[in-house]
Amino acid sequence: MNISSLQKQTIKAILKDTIKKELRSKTLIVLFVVTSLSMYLMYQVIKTVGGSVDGLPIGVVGNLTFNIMFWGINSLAIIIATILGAGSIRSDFKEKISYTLLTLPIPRTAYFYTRILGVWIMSVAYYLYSFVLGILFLTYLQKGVGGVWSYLTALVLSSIVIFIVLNISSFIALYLGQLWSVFSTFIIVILMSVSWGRFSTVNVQEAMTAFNGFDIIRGFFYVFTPHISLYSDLVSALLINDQPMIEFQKVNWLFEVPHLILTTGLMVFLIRLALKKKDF
Amino acid sequence: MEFAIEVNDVTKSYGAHFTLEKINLKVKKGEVFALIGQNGAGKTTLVKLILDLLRTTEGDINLSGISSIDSHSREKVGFIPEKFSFFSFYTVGGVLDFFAESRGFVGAEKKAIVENALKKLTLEDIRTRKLSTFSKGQLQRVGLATLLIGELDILILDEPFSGLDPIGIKDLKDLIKEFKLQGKTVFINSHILLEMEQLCDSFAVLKNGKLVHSGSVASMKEKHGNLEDFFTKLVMES
Repeated sequence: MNISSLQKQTIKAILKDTIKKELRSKTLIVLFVVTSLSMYLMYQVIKTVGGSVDGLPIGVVGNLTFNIMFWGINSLAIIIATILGAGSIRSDFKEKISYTLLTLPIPRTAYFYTRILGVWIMSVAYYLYSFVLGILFLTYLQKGVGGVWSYLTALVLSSIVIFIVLNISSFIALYLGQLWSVFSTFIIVILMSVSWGRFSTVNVQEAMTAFNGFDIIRGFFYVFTPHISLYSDLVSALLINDQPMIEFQKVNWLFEVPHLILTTGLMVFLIRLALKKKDF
Repeated sequence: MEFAIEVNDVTKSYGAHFTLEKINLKVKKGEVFALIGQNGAGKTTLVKLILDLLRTTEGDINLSGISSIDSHSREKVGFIPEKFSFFSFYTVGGVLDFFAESRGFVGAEKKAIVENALKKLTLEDIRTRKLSTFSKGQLQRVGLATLLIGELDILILDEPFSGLDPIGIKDLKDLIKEFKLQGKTVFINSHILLEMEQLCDSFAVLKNGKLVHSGSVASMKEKHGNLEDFFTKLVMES
């Protein structure tokens, strides 16, 4: 794809527009407010009663509580990415702005991925904000911050999951209404998770012995879609596990890294192909 | 002869149903061209194909010699749909800023070009108003203002007179005349035959997805008198 400097300017303008649009997104505003309030509330509760809980030191209780909070925020990753991804593309169609944007001199893929990039930036910004806020409160509580690298690693892994889910939800939103896009994305994500649960812990021989019809679908999803459950599990391990390194060591990275690259590449390739043929 | 828009043997079908069949059309550089036809004749489909919003089933389209499926072909193309829309939280100034930025203008240059567009369409006083408070006619004026941003060579207007008040119609006609003087190609998809006859150099008539006539307005007038009678005769013929 040969991108001219004018096309770069157009992409930049659409990216700016996406961020402007998402800053007005009710979902994101509600999440920012709820996260800030609940973190502040936890901080106050821990500050008041933390020292006396089971005789644990205030810092330990605080850290544990915030870890659970972060884990909760990360669990929201898929839901947020699904809603924002579908909403961003769908609203262009609903308000008929897609006609204006798609007639600008950029390839269809560039429009689609610029929208995704904008939503991804906003979603990651939300996580970063939550982490910074949590770390700030922790600093007040225990006069020192522990596990910053765990939080940052969790942020990177969550960003990967968000990107993948955004691709799926935004792509479906090209064809279906917002509610159906959200619903279909959840079904796909559940199938991806179920397939990971089915095949990640058993060996091939075991899997073949107890093979049933549904396993064909699960096998398909296991082979051809990114293992987002693995990365979500690792995020959980990082945020609420005392020894996340053990979880990391269990993973066959020589298989998982190429698998992630190849399946994400396949997804992007198929999206490009569909966009090329789509009538708007 | 250089053509701004070339439609070569274009067919668009959905399954067995043909929306457009074997369309051949050439729009010369610098002319004002009208595409006319009844509702459902396939005019909007053809506009969408030219802008690559739809993909042809057969045939190809070129804009200034570049295939329409190449996004570079739209670098000098401006388009306003029948109902111009943009996100309702944008102000008029914000919309024009967006178009200026997307066409590569920054800083003082951007400011100057936006000011010029606001002035030309008398939108200066409402530049800070949000689009959500606008009528269809006012939105259409904002859409027209976007055509003044940047050095565009081809302007595609889908039902541009729709929703405009008499002053708006006059402004639009003046604008089209000005575009012509500047050597720009204007492609208009419209029902308003009288205006088309006054403004256009050439025209084409679509009927049930087929091109039934294309030629210059001058020769049509010479042979048939006026566009309204000619068009009525054409569409009434079986």
